[in-house]
This record gives sequence, structure tokens and C-alpha cells, in this order.
Amino acid sequence: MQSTRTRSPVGGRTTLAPRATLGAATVATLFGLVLAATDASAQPASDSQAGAAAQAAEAIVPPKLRDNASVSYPAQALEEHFYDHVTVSLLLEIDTDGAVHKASVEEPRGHGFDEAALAAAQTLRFEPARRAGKPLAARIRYLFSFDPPPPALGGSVLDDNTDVALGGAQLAARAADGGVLAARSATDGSWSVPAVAAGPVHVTVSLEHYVPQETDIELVAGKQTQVVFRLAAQPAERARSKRADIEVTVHGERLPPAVSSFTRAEVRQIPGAFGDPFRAIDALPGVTPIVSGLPFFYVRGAPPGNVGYFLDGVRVPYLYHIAIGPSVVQPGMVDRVDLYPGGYPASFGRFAGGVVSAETTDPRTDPHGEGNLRLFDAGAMAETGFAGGRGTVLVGGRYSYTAAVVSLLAPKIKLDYRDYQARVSYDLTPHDRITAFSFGSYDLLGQQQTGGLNILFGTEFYRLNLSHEHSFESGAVRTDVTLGYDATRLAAQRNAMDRSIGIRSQLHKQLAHGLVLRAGVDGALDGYTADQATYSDPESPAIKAFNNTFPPRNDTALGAWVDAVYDVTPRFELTPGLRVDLFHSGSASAVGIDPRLAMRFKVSDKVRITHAYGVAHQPPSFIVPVPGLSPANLRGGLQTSLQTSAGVETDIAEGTTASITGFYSVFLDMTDSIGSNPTATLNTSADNRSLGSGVGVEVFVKRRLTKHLGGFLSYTLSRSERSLGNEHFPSTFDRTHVANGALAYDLGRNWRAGTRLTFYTGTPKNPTLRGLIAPLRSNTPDRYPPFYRVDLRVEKRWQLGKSTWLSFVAEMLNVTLNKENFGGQQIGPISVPSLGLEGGF
Amino acid sequence: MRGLSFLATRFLACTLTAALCSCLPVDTRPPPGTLHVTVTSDEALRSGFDTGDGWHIRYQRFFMVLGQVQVSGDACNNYSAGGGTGYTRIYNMQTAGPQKVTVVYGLGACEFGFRVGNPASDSLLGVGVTEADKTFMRTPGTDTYSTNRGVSVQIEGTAAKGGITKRFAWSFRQSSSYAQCEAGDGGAAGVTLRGQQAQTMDILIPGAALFDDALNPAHAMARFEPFALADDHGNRDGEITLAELAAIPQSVADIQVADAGVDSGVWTSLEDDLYLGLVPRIARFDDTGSCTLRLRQRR
Repeated sequence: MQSTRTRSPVGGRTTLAPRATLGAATVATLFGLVLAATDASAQPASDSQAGAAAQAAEAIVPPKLRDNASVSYPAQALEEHFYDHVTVSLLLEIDTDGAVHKASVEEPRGHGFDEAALAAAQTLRFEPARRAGKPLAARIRYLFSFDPPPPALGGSVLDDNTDVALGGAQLAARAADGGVLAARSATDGSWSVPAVAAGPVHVTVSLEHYVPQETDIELVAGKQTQVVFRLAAQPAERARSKRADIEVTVHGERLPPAVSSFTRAEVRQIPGAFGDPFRAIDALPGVTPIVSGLPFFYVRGAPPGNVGYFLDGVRVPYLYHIAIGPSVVQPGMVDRVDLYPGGYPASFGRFAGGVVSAETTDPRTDPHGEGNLRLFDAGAMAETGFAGGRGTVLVGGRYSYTAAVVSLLAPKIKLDYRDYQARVSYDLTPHDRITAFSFGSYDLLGQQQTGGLNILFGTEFYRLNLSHEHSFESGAVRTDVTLGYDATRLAAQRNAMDRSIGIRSQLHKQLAHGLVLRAGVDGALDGYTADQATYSDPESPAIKAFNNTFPPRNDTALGAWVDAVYDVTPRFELTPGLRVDLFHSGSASAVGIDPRLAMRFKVSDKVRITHAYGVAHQPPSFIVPVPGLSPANLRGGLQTSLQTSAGVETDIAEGTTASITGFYSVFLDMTDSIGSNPTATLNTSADNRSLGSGVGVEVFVKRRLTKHLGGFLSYTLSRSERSLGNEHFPSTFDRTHVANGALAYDLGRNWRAGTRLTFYTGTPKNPTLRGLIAPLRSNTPDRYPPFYRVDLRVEKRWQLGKSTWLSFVAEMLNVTLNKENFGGQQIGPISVPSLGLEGGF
Repeated sequence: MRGLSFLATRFLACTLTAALCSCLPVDTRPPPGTLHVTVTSDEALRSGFDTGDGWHIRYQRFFMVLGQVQVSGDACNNYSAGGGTGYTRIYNMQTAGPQKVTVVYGLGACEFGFRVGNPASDSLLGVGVTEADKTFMRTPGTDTYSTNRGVSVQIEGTAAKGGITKRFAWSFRQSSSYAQCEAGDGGAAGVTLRGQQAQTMDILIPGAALFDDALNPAHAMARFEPFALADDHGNRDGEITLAELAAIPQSVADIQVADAGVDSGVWTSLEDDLYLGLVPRIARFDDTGSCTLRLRQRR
């Protein structure tokens, strides 16, 4: 509640009275001084005359203010950036009925103050001056005091390298009196704190995966101070490669769409990504696809089963719907997707090959939403606030109607996928937020046969995550409890399931200037079961091998981690970390100790050198992740990777960056035997462990795709090898050259077009198996033919209102209809056309 | 707060329902029919037999690697697809009675196929087969038709006539796939599986068929003379080897088992007759039935 201080013209008494009618942060001070009391002729009197009259006539009672006047700090002054405290002195002639007969400014102040004071004076009402009870005209000096509104403090938080808006950053403004006001940046990066006292203020900002910043500013009363923080990613993130600081460190779609929707707009401009932040991953250097369009890829030589997927820190088994479908989370609620190809922060563990981490948008209280309608599916999300803005609720989902479409082409085929997201958050206090977030995905591919539907492929997963986050002046603590259910349809029409519960708690706190500590503990319990194969041959070696490899069991994992972001000098950042995990499966246990070290050195304002080193452990895994199914042969030990990388980043020009990174990884006791021997079967290869390595150079040059002409070039030269027994050979999916290039061009009139070229070397040829013992594989084998494809995208956008928009998007992956050679067989062409409408409000 | 409580309650109820209830359907297919697949040898194989040209043949060892049963087709719903019928077993065919090949579950009219091939590391052992036998069968070798392969069929025996005894010990490394099997005498193709009904399909290994002089069993007669002739033209040590068979021209052997589709320029010797013609046809679907036979290409 605002207040105005009023000084009585009579007694000069100072009171503090509530007032709700004045403009924000505007205080008017009324100080009346009887200058003269004259007869009804109301002639102007000089000061000396008034003083003399007052002294001479004790019976004279000066005018008494009856009705106050509302004044606001003039808009003209604010527009002219004038924020001083101003007092305007008026001479008022008050007639015998108490009205202001005339008002004049004694000393003009300009900036609209004089006009404001004169206008307010006309509304004043007085008890007239009296002498011996008789009303008299009087002339008085009257002071209007204008206090400027409190200083406004706000600004934005951006990624230092990409200018991507960063949501969810914690800001704290400490005033000179010790008071602290906290804020959190919105999805568009904006932030503000209310009613900060003028004077020196110390502002700190922190965001996970970024180097915290702080600054001292002097707030001027009434002046709006905008502070733009450009946060630098922590060295680990930087050094892991230029993940590129491209769309993968991308924000999801921001609503309402506007020119500021930079990040999502960039993702939209990548042909073949279908506007999906997750699909931008395969355009990054270091990422090697298995097959074009499929959502499984090697990362720096590590197979897909060694790459972990996380959404808001919650482990998920996969990111995309069946085959070339969309991602399992509405793009509109994805705030950022990070790819960690190696040397990742200590908070990530239990995956030896890489981490893809997505974060959802921060809750928003203003109603907003978006949706799309395509040939094969429709999706939408909406979010709004409740409880006066303390809470938010979000719902979203996607539903495919592929069954109807596919049935026209293949009546016996049933293809179905859908997903949902629901989130409720509530701020218990300004520093405490609880959130319930549930999401899930379902995919089914079946074929009608005699007797019913045969499910050829089916998978689903669901998560319910309950979290509490407490923020304080220099950091935050977050605790999560996650329930999970994963299932996959296996051969013989049975389901494998994993019912899981996970608990994790993490802290980040700024200990001192340039030193941030992060630490956490987490645990997970996975209960694996599988339906019995009712209609199978119990003598089958494959069934026995499956049961031996995937027995019903409970797997547990307990972990603790800590790291610190330390600015050794203003140019040198060091992030040492350590993670320890204890794994238990069946009757076997194993311990993984993972040291991590990341460094970043600023050679100049435009050139940075990065290094990242790390060890990562992981229990046995498939070559590709399969929900509900995980090998149990922990007795063979953990898979281990040693990851190193070093690179140089440079800002070439405005909006254009380039980087080059070299990496070398060593893999020990890998269980991707199928990846190292394509003819292996489960029952012959489940216990095979391989030694592997990945070495290469990654180059990434990018000009923001939202520029009039934007694009990127991503190139990886790499070699991934495996050793199995006495054989040394390239990994089954080793591709020497992988290149992606994209261009996006603004055609004008809200038309935009883009194209993308993807090229990669063919995989190694394996020697033909001519008997029981395969010939030794060559370390320099012949290769299958290379593959390339061209993607196109055209969009027409209509802005229907301030925040309402509609787009028509035509997009196609592999317009050249190129077929790909997979293990000696031509497959495809895998081409995906997409026509659809997208919109939001 | 009541509104918040309501929302939270609804949210948790909905999400927990979604999270705790699996959507993947359980197996809703109707109960299938059961097909027990067996392999059986005849009395001739186990106890010996007389050929039409007066030789008495007795096998000392007759091992086969058989399995990988295929039940498929547009009108067939194989419940066991992916359920583990793709394995093989090493059989001692001198064991009496039917021996299990596998069990298959399904519905509908199904094509039937199987395979005789090299043993795999996970091949099972039939009755009377030891690990040592398996090791022998898996030992790679090379002959005219195969390179670096194990043994699919191992046949050892003796032939006697008028005081003359010939011995033979042949390792056949060729793999043979049998598909689209049909019952004999115009019988039905494949097998029809009906719900909750069990039936047996037997693969017969007739001992005398190894020395038939024609493809059609109805017109064939077992003859050993051409084989004995091979040793007589060879080193006359009484041991008939594949190399000695290779030296006997097909015209001399006068065994009409060459496939019409096979290049006669390739199929020239008695070894060809035995290796490519007789051995692959020793496995017979449902006694008198026939299958489409596919051999691996000659090396």
C-alpha cells in the first residue's frame, strides 16, 4: 500500500496517512504558509505586508486546508529521465469561500512540475482565513513536493555466447540497508525486482551450468535501471564441444512469439528438425547417426545406449516417438536442450557416453499456449496461473491419428503414438516452490494377423516428479522424488517392465566472489520384471539367454557428487568435480569413482580456450536404450569411459561464432558387442566386453539462423575403434566424416525458407562370414557407400494479434529420396514430409 | 486454497493413473494351436538295409544338425515368432523314436520350413550326443563345397557284399534350407494350426535314401555299386572318400539326382550327386512330403 506524507498548513505536523489514489511511487507534499490575510478585496500582498498583518492581528485565523489534492510525479519528467526530488512553490489567492481564486508559480521548475502543481492547486479547498470570525480573502505560499517514484530495477539474462535468453536464473538484489529482494528470470530472460531503495545495490545472478555473476550498481530514485547479464557457460559445458552453443543450447518455444523468441525461432529454422529442439541434436558436431532420421546416434564414439537422456533431471529412456516421430515432450515447454558429449558436470552420472539434458520452461502465470496440426498428429499445450499468481498449471500432449492415415496405405498395420505432460507449481513462499510434473509417452506398431493384433513394437514410459526448491540469497536447494514406469513389448508378445523410484537433492551456493559450490546426492531403485514367454519353446537357448541376461531383479544406485566453479583469475575458470556411485544388481555390486575437471581460459574478449576431462561409469547397457530392459551382468564390471577434449572458441563477427575442438575418449568393458559385431546374437554376445576409443576433431561455424541470412556448418572428423579378443577394427557405426550445413533465408512478407545438407561416410564393411569362424576384421576395411540427404523447409507466418500467431509449415526430410546402405542392405528412402499449421497465443 | 486443493487432487489422480497403469496391451490373442515338430529315423537307418544291387549297409554314426523351424505366411499367426524356435540341435539319428525339434504355437494356415546346417555355439545336444561330438561337429573344415565350416551331417558306416566290405566316413558341411513344405500325395501345404489343438509334424530321415538313384522316392532304388566303384578306381583301400567319389563321372555313376535347375557343368561327379543331390534330400517333410530346397552356393 502506498502512502502520502501530508504536512498540515496549520500546525506543520507531519502525519503518515494511507492513500490509494495517487500514482505509483508518487508522493505529494503539501505545505501551506499563510503569507497574508486581507479583506475580501483579495488584493495581492507582499510578504512583508502579510507578516505585518499577521503580527498586527492576532485574531486572524489563516486558511486551513480542507480537501487535499492528488499529484503524481509528472510523466514528462519521467520521459525526460528527470528523477530529482522537486518542490514547486505556488502563491495562492484564496477567496472568502475557501476556493483557490488564483495560483501562480513562484519559481518555475520545468519538466511538467509547474503545470502539475497549478492543476492540483485548482482542486484544493480551504477553510477561508478569518478575522474575528469573518471570512477574509488571503494569499498564501503553498508548496507542492514531488518525490520521484522508487527506482525500478530489472533487465535480462542472456547466454554470453549465443545471446540466447536464459530463464530460471536466480537473482538477488541486496540494498545498502541489508534488505534482499529475489527474482527469477522469465523464459524470455527478463527479470525485475520491485521497489528497491535508491542507493548502492549488489546484484547477483546464478543459473545451473553457468558461471554466476555479480555487480554493484547505484540506483537513482525514480530511474529505471536495466542490467543485462551475459552468463558464460561453465567450462565443462563449453569444452564438451561446441554443442554448440547452437540450437542445442537452445530455448524452447517462447510464448507469445515475438521478435524476442530468438531461441525457438532458431530451432524452427533448421530443416529436418521439424521445429523440435531435440531433433537439433543430430546436427551438432560429435554426433554420428546410425541411420538418417532415426533418433539413435553415437556421441564421440559412444553408442546410443551409453547416452543418457534427462528431462528436468529426470532420467527418461528415449526422446522421440517411434522411428522418425516427434519428441515425447511438447516443444513449447522445452526451455533448453544441452548435449554433453564428454567431461560433463559431476551432477550427471551413470552414463559413459554422453548426456542429453533438457529443461522445461519456467512456470508462467499469464495464460498462454500453442499447438500444431500436422498430417500425422496434433499437439498442444497451455499454461496459466492461479491463486493470484502463486501457482501455475500446465497441460500438454500429442496424439497421432496415424492409424487412420496408415490404414489407407496398409490396412493391416496399426501405428499409434501419444504423449502427455502436466505440471502444477505453487510458490509456498517467495523462496519456496513445490512442483508436481508428470509426463509420459506411448508408442505402438502392430500388425493384424489371424487371431488378433501382433505387436511388432511397443514401448511406453511415465514419470511423476515431485520437487521442492528453496532459493536463498546465494543459491538454492532442490529435492526431487520421481516415480517411473517403463515398458517395452518384447518378442513372443510379452512386456518387460521397470518400476522405479528415484530421490535426489542438490545444492548450489555461492561461497565467495568467484566461487560457486554445487553438490548433491541421489539414489534410484529400479525393479525389473518381464512377462513369461507363454508361447515359446522353453528349451530355446535364446529364451534362456534372455532370462539370464534380464532376470527379474531390483537394481539400486546411490550417488554423491560435488564440484566447484572457481574463477582463479578473471580470465581463468576452473571446475573440479567428483562423483561417486555405488551400483548393486542381483548379488553383484560395483563402485564408480568419476573425477571431472573443466577449464576455460579467455585469451581475449573474443577467443576462449576450453578443456574438459572426465571419467564416467555405467552399468551394462544395450547398444540402444530399451525402456524397461537393462542387462544384469554387473559381475563383468562397469563400463568405463575416459573423456578428454580441448578446443578454441571465437566470436568472428556479430552473431557469428566458430569453434574447433579435439577429443579423445577411451572406453573400457563396453557391452555394445552388437555394435562391435553385427552378426552377434544375444545369447552369444551378452557377456562380450570390448575395449574402444574415439578420437576426432569437431568444427562448428554458425551464424544465427534468425538473421536475415543465417546458417551453420558442423563437421566431425573422427575414428571410433573397438578391440574384441585379438581383433582391432573400426566400430560398426564408425563414420569418418559427418557434416551438416544449413541455410535459412528471410524471403520477406513473413516467408522464410531453409535448406540443410547432411553427409556422412558409410560404415565399415565386415568380412563375409564363410563358416564358423569369421575372418579377422580389418582395421582399414572397405566401406559402404556414403550417404547424403537434403532437407527443405518453408514457413509462412501470420501475426494475428499482439501475441497470437499462426504459421503454415511445409517441411521435408530427405527430399532427394536417397537410400541408405545399412549393413550391406539398401534401406529407405527414409523421407518424411510434413505439412501443418502451428499457432500460439 | 480449496481451488488449489481440488486442482492438486485432480492432477495427482490423473497422473498417477497414467503413471501406474500400463497402456501396452497384454497378449489378447486367442489360445493358439500347438505344433510339436519331431525328427525320426527309420529302421533302415538304425539297423541297416540291403540295397537293390546287393549291398548291405549299416551305419555306425549318423549325426545331423537340424532346427530353425520356420512357421509363417500371410494367413498364419505364429505366436512363437521371436520366442525361440530359431535354434538347432545335434541329433544322433540312430536313436529310436521321435526326437523333439521344437514346439511352435500359432493359428492359421502356415508355411513350414526348417534347416539342416552347421552347429552353432548354442546348439543343443540330442539324445546320445556328447560335448565331444559337438566339438567335432563344430570343427571347421574345407571341402569342395564349403570353406571353413563345421559339419552339418556326419555319416559313417560300412557296406558289405560277397565278402567285400567298404567303409565310408563322410562329413557334409553344406547347409540346406527347406521351405514351403507340402505333404505328399497332393496333401496340404504347410500346416494348419487350430486353437487349443495339438498336432505333430515329423521330419523323417530314411536311411536308404542316401543311396537312391533317383530324386523321386517312388521311382528310386538304393544302389551302392557306384560308390564301391569309386574306391575300386581309387586306392582300393576299402575306404570310400569324397575325393574318390569326385573322380567318378556322373555318367558312369548313372544316378539321376541332379536338379534340373542346376548347371550340368557344375554337377559332374558322383560326389556332386551325393553332396548336392542325395544328402540334402535325406530329410523328408511328413514322411512323403516335399519342400523347396535351397542350398548354399558352391564355393
